[in-house]
Amino acid sequence: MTDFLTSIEQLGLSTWIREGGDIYGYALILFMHTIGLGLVAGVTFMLNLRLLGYTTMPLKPLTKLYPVIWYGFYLNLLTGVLLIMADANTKLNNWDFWVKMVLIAIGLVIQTRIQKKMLAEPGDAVPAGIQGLAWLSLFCWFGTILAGRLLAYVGPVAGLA
Amino acid sequence: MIIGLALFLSALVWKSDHLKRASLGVFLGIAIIAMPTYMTGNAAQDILAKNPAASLPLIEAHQSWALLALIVISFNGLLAWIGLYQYRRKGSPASWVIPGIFLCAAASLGLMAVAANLGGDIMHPEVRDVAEGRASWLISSMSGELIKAAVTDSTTIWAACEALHFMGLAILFGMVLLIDLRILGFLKGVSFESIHKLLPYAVAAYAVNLATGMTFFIAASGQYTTNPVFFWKVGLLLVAVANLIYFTVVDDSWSLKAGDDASGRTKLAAVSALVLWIGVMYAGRMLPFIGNAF
Repeated sequence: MTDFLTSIEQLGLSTWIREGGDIYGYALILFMHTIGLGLVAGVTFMLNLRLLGYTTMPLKPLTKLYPVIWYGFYLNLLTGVLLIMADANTKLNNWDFWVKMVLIAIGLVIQTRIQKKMLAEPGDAVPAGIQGLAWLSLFCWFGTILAGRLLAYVGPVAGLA
Repeated sequence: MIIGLALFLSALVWKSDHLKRASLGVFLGIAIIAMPTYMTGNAAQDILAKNPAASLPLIEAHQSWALLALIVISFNGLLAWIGLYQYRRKGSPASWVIPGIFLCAAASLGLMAVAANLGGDIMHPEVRDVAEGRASWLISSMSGELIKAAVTDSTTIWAACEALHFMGLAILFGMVLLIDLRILGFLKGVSFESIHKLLPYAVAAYAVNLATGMTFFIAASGQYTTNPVFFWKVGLLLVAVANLIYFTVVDDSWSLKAGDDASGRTKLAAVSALVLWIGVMYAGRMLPFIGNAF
């Protein structure tokens, strides 16, 4: 396994991201990952506040924001894979990384269920049983930010070893 | 601050809502520029500390009292924002806002007077013995040095602040996106009033990011005051905050009902909000890479 992960780290692309010393490598990918974070967690935060009744925005126009969340997710899937390639050994052997992955997986399932319920709702009412999902969604995405940020501090950390 | 307080008091005397709102605006403006003012003090400290004529204990005492003043002024700014927000929504602020602002404004004036007095003595050797004797009990009360020691000794505090800083970033970015998508017409079916209702969450997120950001700055000011990207970040941030205040108070956006088209000026403000906040995030994220901050 370690051999396999090391071979990923030694790919030309991975090496360039990690060691290119180029502002367009690691730094820019990390910045794009932050933008994606803002799209997913920021937009779901605002939508969940509406579902929980903290404001009165009409629900139908807000369904147009669902693709925005998914663009953010795909951006972070892409940039996340690139970041893992650069540090495959430290990331994939870190328990905190897997906590993050589980939170993302649950977060995606919940987002899909919220969307299905919302799009099936003919009127402008909040469908029954959606508030639990909204709270869980907030927990998952903000937990993902916490787990992601802690990757720089817990378990094996690249560059500090 | 004296001008703000004078304006505020005359507003109370004449019971003028216009004057009250104007003085809240002045307090908010003061709170915004207090942060970079404190930061330049830190940069000056690094230079001054090398000068043998300067008194180190007095520099630290000046710094500690300035930090206390900054905290009270920032809190006052938060109250002023709440007042302006409630003026916009309900036509008058809640009963606790005005007395709170009066207390904070008076307290910050006192704290700044102490800080200024200590600051003035830094380069005056003839009064040093008296001044330092006075300063010793003042320093221990609350010192940037104590915060610095606590934060740099503990990875946990630093990591927790980083995590909170990114959560705050996400909420602020979500708010800016929502405002922009409405103003630019993508969410035309939503009234601005219902989006405006969410602004306190963004301002709370800003308060968290200001507190955690200042913690980083106090703990490792040297790596920021010498970093050109940091100047960009703070500069862009000041304009971005002014932009957020624009959307809190102006009639242009407030009066947008579902289906209304925004004015050109407000659309320009919306576009600049996105550019400014992305600029803040870019400069922040680049701190470790273009400069040398971690």
